[in-house]
Amino acid sequence: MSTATITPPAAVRGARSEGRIGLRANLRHISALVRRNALQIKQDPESMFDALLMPIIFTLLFVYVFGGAISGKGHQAAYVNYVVPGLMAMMGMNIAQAVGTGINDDFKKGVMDRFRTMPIARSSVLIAKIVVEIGRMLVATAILLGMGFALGMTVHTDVLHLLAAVVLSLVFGASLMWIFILLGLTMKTAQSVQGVAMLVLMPLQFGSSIFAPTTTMPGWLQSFTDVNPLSNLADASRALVNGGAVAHSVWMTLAWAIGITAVTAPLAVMRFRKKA
Amino acid sequence: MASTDTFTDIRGCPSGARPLHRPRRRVPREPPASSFPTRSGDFGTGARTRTGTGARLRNPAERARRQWAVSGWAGLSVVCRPGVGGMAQSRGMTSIKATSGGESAVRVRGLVKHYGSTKALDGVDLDVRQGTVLGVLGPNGAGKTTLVRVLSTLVQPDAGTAMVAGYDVLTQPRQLRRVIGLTGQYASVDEKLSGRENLYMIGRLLDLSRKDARRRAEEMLERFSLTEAAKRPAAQYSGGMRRRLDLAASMVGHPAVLYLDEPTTGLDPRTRNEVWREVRRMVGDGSTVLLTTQYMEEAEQLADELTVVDRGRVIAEGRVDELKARIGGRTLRIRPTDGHRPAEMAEALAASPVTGVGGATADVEDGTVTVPIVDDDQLTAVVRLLAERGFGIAEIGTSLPSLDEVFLAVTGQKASVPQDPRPAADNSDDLEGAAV
Repeated sequence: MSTATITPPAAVRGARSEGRIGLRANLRHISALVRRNALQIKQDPESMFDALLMPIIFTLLFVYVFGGAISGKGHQAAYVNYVVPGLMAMMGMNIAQAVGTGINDDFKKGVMDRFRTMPIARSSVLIAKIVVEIGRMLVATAILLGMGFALGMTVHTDVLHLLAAVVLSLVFGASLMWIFILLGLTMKTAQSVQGVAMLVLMPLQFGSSIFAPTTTMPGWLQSFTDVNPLSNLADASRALVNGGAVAHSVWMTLAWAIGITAVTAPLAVMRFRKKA
Repeated sequence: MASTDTFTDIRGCPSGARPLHRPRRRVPREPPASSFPTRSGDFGTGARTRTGTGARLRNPAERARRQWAVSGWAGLSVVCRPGVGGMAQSRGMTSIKATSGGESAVRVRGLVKHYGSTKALDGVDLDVRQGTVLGVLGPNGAGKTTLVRVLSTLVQPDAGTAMVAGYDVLTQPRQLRRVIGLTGQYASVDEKLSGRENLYMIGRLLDLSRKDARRRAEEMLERFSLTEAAKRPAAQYSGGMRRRLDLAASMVGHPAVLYLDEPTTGLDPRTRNEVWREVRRMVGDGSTVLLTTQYMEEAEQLADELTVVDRGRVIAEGRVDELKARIGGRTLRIRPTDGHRPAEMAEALAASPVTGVGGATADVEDGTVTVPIVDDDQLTAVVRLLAERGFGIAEIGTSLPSLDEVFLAVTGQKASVPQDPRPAADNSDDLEGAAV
């Protein structure tokens, strides 16, 4: 009663007798899983709160709490141009963090086990997650920029440079996601994933050039902020928005992104495959 | 009860004679009107089944019922005599391997998986013949779930081999995943997605076109009576709906081999019956099923063959009724008509010259007389004797020990049933291993 209309499994099997999953099939699987993650957000809009509200709260806080102190009273507008490109870097990180707790949760709920017993590349589940998170990052970045412009930010270069800054922070954010995926696959509970993520994120975010120029920091901290990839990213996007030398910080950021992905992505996929 | 009997019996045909693809036609569930008592409480013990191994059936109504059930398979090219399979197989641990003519859909040899010092699987061998249901029965922690996880490529074994539909779990996991379906407490659906979206997603992941995936999702929703709830997120489903959605999800891809890992654990009896019904339908559609359960009744209801596991080892295996026959003898239960006291009947039987009836006892509470069966002629002899002595018989039937008793007997955890010396000798090695 049910089977007559559908391709019998034997035919599917025959077509892919070696079991490899082709590129097109892989893309199809990823898009089905992206759809799943998007539907989850639709079903649970609260999960978008971080992407929607964080940029607003952070911009307001930093511009009005620290802006005066850092750039001088009444010079908040100048600080907007300083901090918003930096916040773009930070936003990516904070959102990337959600991927770890999400993966951890999927394993708890058992839906991961279903995926892992299906004839799909196991990486496709992770890639779909990353695609959706990048979408969330885009939303957050758009809101952040909107807030920035509302508070008086001006682009000193051009739209293309601004877009380049956005893309750069997305690329870097995506590379960070692999770290969080790895964390999510290794830690036992979603809470501990979040705890560890905060521990790593706080020093990286504040020990960087995101919020304030590093020139007033002691030497030992400066040597840390100089290698901190977030400083590179913040410097790069600032230079892309405000003008100035971009080459070094952009290349450094890309090198970091590639390096992080090259190391953590295979580890994460392996962990995903082996996780009992 | 009745439905299971027909079910078990039909698939108990010599497997070589069974067509690989069964017609879509269902086995009729309800037998025609029969004078045989069908209420499970008739003899007061719901746990016992009143089946008797097929070939030995003496009750004409029962025999008629089975034959009718077989002839119900009108579309079948091969019609087999009811009840042949059960007795054709020899006893002992090697019975399945030695006598099964059918191809093994699942073949497991020497499977070992240790977690630290815990031996989840400690050298498991088993076979599931194509188109049959193998019940893997064992208590919590026996290794059932680890077994299913190995067979579905979620866990890699430390040693041993496992082939599913001809694919090796270790070397051909991708191909293997194409032919299996998994329903368990863990392999679940996405709670945030609706039933329809879950099934659609799975269809897409199984390379169906958008259109086919949508159509297949609707089919599955309808079949598992979920159409009305199709739009609601799975998190809002009741326990039974949730399990049905799990089953539907594992059926989207027409799996050749289906694993059901404790499919009814935590469900109320009504929901459990719903799930059983669906499982029977799946089997009717030609799926090979490996079912794990801790419920004897579930194994009795659904399985053709049984493997009893404990502490990572197989401690007994065989056909369900065969296993039961090995553990304890069959008994004959007689309910006298009103006006005859069971005790008098038991006394009369015990004092009679008929062989083997010395052990006749009366169950006063139940109002029945129980007679251990030593040989088949005894049944007729008992009936004739009772007639001669002027006793009226209201109900009569044979029963095998329940699987609870089987399990306790073979695991040695609680010997509640007097054991047949032969199987005890067969299993002595395993029992020692299991009893540590």
